[in-house]
Amino acid sequence: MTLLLVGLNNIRDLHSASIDKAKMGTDGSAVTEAQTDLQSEVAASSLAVTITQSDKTNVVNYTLPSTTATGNTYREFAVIDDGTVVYNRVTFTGISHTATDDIVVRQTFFYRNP
Amino acid sequence: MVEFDSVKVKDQLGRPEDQGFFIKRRNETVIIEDNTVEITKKSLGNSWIVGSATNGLVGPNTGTVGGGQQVVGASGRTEVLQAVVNPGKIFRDRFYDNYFEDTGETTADWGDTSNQLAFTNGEIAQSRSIAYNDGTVTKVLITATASSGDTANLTVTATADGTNWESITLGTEHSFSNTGTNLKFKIVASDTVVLNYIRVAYS
Repeated sequence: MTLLLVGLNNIRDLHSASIDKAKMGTDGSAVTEAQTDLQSEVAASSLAVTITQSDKTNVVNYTLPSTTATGNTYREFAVIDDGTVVYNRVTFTGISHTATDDIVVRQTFFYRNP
Repeated sequence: MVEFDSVKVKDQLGRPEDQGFFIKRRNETVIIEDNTVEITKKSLGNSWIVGSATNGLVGPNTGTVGGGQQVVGASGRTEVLQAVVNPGKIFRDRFYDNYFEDTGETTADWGDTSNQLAFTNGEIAQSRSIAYNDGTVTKVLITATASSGDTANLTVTATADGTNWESITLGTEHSFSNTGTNLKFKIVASDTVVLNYIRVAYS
């Protein structure tokens, strides 16, 4: 059996509907499945996202403005349904955030048959 | 209180006494790939100020109590790549879009139609950075799936430092002579080939 494209797109839409924000943190330690949140969240970085779609695909677009949560070196990122669930945790090399730049993050989710 | 007559229930199920009762459930599995994350910095650029006391288009700002500036636009913003990371250090592209296409170098049809990367003889597909500041890349393993044509007609190269290109054999792990933190791939076709998936594992 195979999930049809329309079915996969519906699952994509259900997931999209339960993503409202993303956030960043300063801890770059390794990611494990058992974790439930960022390891060192910067609360002010929790901001609304926009989502663009194509077949079987959600692209989450997040911007941390130059006016918000500056003075930190960010090393982790998460896509969330605020107050309900943290979907993922991604770590990366330290990125300093100052008043001169926005930080822009683009994350892709893809839904498919095995 | 309702009591169930087990004998009647068994009769209704229509099964012999000595056989079990099974409900067959078929499972559908959906895989959600947590794919590439790209992080950039955008500078503020040059703002267009309206109502400034010093350089406003409408003269001195005497119309508001604070006399503040209102930024209504910005130009000259620069965008600088900070990181591209892939969960498990595996980049995947099924060509549902052309986001990772280096449009200045690519002549093949990358994700424009039918979720594929389509080559004719002599066409090139070159990626943008598919891993950047995601640790030092020393090895790469590239595999590709063709929906038509033969991947033997593809010449593949990759760079770990964004500059020095090295020959790759699809399906064979390659150790870079020039390691680095800016991984890209390039494919040149010598015949018509259509790819519907490329996977790049690196370490």
